[in-house]
This record gives sequence, C-alpha cells and structure tokens, in this order.
Amino acid sequence: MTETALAAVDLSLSFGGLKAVDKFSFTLPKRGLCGLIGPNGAGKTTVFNLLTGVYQADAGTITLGTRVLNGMKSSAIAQAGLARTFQNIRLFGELSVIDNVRTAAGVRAKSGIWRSLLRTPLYLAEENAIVERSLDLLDVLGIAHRAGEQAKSLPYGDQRRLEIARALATEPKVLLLDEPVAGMNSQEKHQMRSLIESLRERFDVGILLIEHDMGLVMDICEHITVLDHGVTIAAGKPQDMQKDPKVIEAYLGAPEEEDAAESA
Amino acid sequence: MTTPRDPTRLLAARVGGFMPNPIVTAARSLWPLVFGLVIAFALQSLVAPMIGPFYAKMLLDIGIAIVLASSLNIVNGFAGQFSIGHAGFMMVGGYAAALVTYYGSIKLGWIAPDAYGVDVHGGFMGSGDALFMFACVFGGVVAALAGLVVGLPSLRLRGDYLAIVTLGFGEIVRVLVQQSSEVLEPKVAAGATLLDAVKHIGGPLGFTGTPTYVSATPWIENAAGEQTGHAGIFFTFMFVAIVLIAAYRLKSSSHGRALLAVRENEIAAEAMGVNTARAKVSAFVMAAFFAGVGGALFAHEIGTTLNPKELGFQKSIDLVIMVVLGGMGSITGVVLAATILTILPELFREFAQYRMPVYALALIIVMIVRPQGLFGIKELWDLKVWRRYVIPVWRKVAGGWLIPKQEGDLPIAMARDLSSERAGAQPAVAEDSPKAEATPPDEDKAP
Repeated sequence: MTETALAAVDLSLSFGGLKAVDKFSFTLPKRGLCGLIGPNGAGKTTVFNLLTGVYQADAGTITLGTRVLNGMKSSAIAQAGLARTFQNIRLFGELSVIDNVRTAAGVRAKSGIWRSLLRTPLYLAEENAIVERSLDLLDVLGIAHRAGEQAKSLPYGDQRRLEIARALATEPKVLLLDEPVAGMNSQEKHQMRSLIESLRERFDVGILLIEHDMGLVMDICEHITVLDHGVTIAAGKPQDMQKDPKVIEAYLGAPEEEDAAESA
Repeated sequence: MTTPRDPTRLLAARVGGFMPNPIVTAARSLWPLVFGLVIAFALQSLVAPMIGPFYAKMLLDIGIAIVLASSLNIVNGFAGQFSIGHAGFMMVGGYAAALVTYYGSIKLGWIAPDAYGVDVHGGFMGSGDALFMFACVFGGVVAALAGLVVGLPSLRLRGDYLAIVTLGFGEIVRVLVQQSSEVLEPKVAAGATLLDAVKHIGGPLGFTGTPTYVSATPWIENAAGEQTGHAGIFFTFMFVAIVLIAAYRLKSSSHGRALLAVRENEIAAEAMGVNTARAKVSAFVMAAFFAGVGGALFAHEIGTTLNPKELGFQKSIDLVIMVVLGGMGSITGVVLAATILTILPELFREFAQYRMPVYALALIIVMIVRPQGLFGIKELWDLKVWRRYVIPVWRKVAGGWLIPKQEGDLPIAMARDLSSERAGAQPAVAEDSPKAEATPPDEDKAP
C-alpha cells in the first residue's frame, strides 16, 4: 500500500568465519521512521555499512526506490539518495561548519572543473544556490549562528547536528542516523527527538535510526528491528518489542519477569 | 518557507538575476588574469631593469618557486595525498619543454649549425617566445599524463605508502633521464626523428642544448642595438597568476571542497557522495600539470646546465618544505613560504652548506610549535587584521561590479558575517517554518 523507500532482502555478511549479519531483511516505507536496535556488537552499524556500500554484502539485495544498490560504491549510493551519519562523528574538522554542508551539497553540482575555473554564470548561480541551501539547512538544525566556525571546534551536540545537516545536504530519499543522541543530555535529546520527527515531513525522507536510548526509539519509531549477533531476533511495532521475550533476553539475559520489559 | 527539494527553481531565479551578458560574464571571469598579466608585464619591462640582474634573478626564482609549491599544494594540501616526488613531474615537464625548444627550433630552422645552445631568434615576445610558451604548455600536458599514472596507485595506497610510490616515481624518472644519450648536434638533429630526439636528452651531462628563455636580463642588446632578450619574467609571472587563480577558484568551488573533504575524512567524503577516486586522480593531474609548467620554466632558466641531478629528491623536499611551512592547503601561506624560502638562501649564500640542517631544524620547530604550518588551511583574508581593514575597502571598491554577490568564495571568517546578516534580514523564515519550535537557537538556554 505505501511506497517503499528502502528495502533490504536477506542481507548477509561474514568476516572470515564470523557471521556479522545474517539474512537481514527490512523495508522502510516512504517517509517512514524505523529503528534498528540491539545490544552492543549486534551488527547494527555493520548493517549501515552494508546499506551504504562500505562493505559489499555476500548475499541479498538492497533496493532504494526502484534502484538496486548492490555493488555500487559509497559515493554512488549517496548520490542515488541514501545518506548517513556516523556513530563516531566524522566531520571535515578543519573546514568551517558551512563548508561541511556545502561539500555535501556540491556533489550534485553540474558545473565541471572548467566552469569552476572560469566562473561562468551557471557556476556562480549554482554555488550561490548551494550557499543558500546550506544556510537553510543550518537554520533548520539550529546551528546557523555557527556557520563560520571550524567544525572541530563545535560542541559535541552541535557536531551531531552538523552531521545530520551534512547528510541532508546530499538531498537524500532515505537518511540513516547512527546513534544521533549518543552522549546528549536529556534536554538536547528532547530537541533532537522533535527535530528528527520534523525532518521526515520537511525533507520528504525516510529515516532509519540506530539508537540505544530506548525511550527515544519507542516514542518516535513506527517499526523496530532488533538485532543480536547479526541475527534479526524480532521485528514489529515498538509496543510489541517491549514485551517480546527474545528481545528482553538479548538485553537483560534472563527472561523472567514482565517488569523487565518496562525498564528496557 | 525553504524549498530544499527544489534547487532548479532557485537556480533559474539566480541565473536570471545574474543577467549573463557575455561581456560582463567574460570580464568577471577573466579580470584576475588580466590583472595578473598587467603585473607580469610590469615586472618584466619596468621592475626587472630597475632592480638589476641579481634581484631580477631572485624575482624569477620566487615566481618559479610559487608555481611549483602551489602545484604541490593542490595534491599535498588540498587533497591530502602526501607526494614527495614532485621534482619528477618537474623533470618530465622540463625535459619535454626542452625537447620542443631545442629540437623544435632546429626543425624549424631557427638555430644555425654554429649557434649551439644559443638562441638569438625572436627577441622579446618574438617567435622564440611563442615556441617557449607552447613548450611550457606541452611540458605541462606531458607531466599531467605522468600525474595520471602516479595518481592511480593513490587509489589503493595512503599515507607513507603513497609517499614511497611518489618518491619512487621521482627516482625512476631521474634514472631514466640519466640513461639517455648526449644531446645531438644541430646538424645531426636536423635529420633526427622524434624517437631519436627523445633518446638524446643529455643523460648525466645534462640537456646542454636548452636555450635560456627565462632570463633575468631580458633587456640585453646585441651589437646592432636590438633587444635580444626574452619575455621570461613575463611568462613566469603569467603562470604564477594562472596557477594562483586556478588554485583559488578550485579551493572555493565544489570540486576543491571535495578534495578538502578527501583530505579531512575519506570515509565521510565518500559517504557524502564525493567520488574520492576521481578527486584524488584529478588532484594529481592538476598538480602535475602545473609542476610540468614550473619545470619548463625552471629548465629554461638554468638553460644549458639543465641536469637530472638538479631535479632529484632534494628538489622535491624543498617544495614539500614550502608547502608544510606555509600551511597545507593555504594558497597564500604557500606563496609566502615559497617567497621566504627562496630569498633566505640567496641572502645567506655564504652559509649555503648549512642550508639543509637549518631547514630540517626549522621544519622540526614548525612541527612542534605550529603543526598546521604558518597559515594552516586558512588564507591571508581569513586573518582578523585583513577582515577588519582590507575587506570593507575591497567591498566598497569592487563590490558592485566585480564581485556581485559572490558568496561562492566565502572565506571561513566571512561566512559568519553572512549568516548573522541573514539572521537579521529574514526572520520570516524561522516564523513561517512549521516546525520552528524544534530548533529555537535563542531559546536553547531557556528552561
């Protein structure tokens, strides 16, 4: 019924004898907001790396809209409309905040190297449009007042925001957020939560989220996939996941009381 | 309301706003080059005769050093691919150019059989200069091809390993040139094929036929009172202008930012859609082109003493030091470092044997005190003093016509002014946004 933005079917990846991801399947509807959770080392970030072409899957298919992404390079996947942020922040530290965003916004620029060197009207118009759009994005993320600062000098929370702004600048159809609220205080988390929710409408993107903050995941995600040791142990609505014995076992080790679900 | 999904409309509106009148377009595109040419011409015809041969030579050396160091800055500074074989590209470009000017002028019948190694044709801006100009570009193109070849391993290697490959390239080129045979006499050369010519480029003795087109004394006259000098200073500074404009425009464009992104974080750059393989190879090709041009200038400055030993590892290291000292990625910083490091050895010529220990010491001190170099990645105009006193004046003088609304340039420091201007000018954006409450920048602190 609803259009599918991103679909993965039976993705598998092994490192030597270790199955890092085993038959991972999921679908993200257009403008959907899904969560990917699991204990540390469950393979969540590996899934992101598979989706974005950092690793090539041993088996399975990835489709973005109607395009099959298997075998494509990361940059081609990003240009196809799949953007991501990083768990361990990877900004372009020496560049200014706005240049971080402009870099991502510029990869679709039509002006070739000669137009850039000659500064033709098309080039100038394009660059100006990129600046406008980058400032708009910084506005939306609430860090426009820091546009001129070096990215590495930003406080931690703003670095996370900048990562999201940079990912959005690539004009994605699907956004992969890797622990967007890690290390934030509760107020920042609250802001980030409403921000993430607003992004879907505003930028027409589907979002797949890795997060350890269960409160956040349960609140905003429409659908959750739970990984453990590379295996999908459960998938469904957030409420159901809280009660799923397998999930509770993965997180707490002992499936004994109903109460454990609430605290998870 | 912002429309991030609709860049084409924004673009169309912008292009309309620019009124691409061909004359205005050409003027905006080319004025820096014209400006550079005027300066180059003034240096050649006014400044050089005024300051005399010693300082004119120094001026030339500075110009050539700027071309070379700036070209290295594209690959080492912008793209962060540490190359220490830049003299190899110089050698390729210089020898290719010398092939053109020596064997080329023989083929054209310009060199009389008795005038071995001497060039008397053309005079200032004459036919010889035209040939030299072509030779410079040819040298650049051949070096760029070499850059393509060396750039390819950079796709698989990084850091120290890439440095070793580039070092190896420089040494291979040097050894190959040393294996060549002596330069052919003009009489023999007149009947030589291209392959013969390529085989006879002097070997360890050097390319002894290289004419001195880049001379510090362009005003010399022959017995008949005609000026026989060449426009070497003009050409050198023309290429200085070209390399600086190219580097600046590259750095401020999306292509340049892609290079900087590769340097800053390759994985993130790739994830943001930057084709890092293409970026790295194109950086190598561009850097090699200008190194080839610089090598051509260098070759025709030292003329008959052009020798593979001149363009060995030592030369590469000299260039690396200029880039590291000036600041990897800073165009103005590298220009400054190239200038200083060309003048200093001349001034302290009697202590020449201490040059390398002093360089090494200086480099160690820089690495400890200021590892990012004098300027880091920033430019002169990012400095506080410059922003406060120069930019306002510049905007007033040239703002309306020459730099219409060139936010595309946007030095780091100016971005802040711009964003605060915007914040003041368009509060409507924030109010109209449906989800503005998600990010209230001013209310962050309010509970």
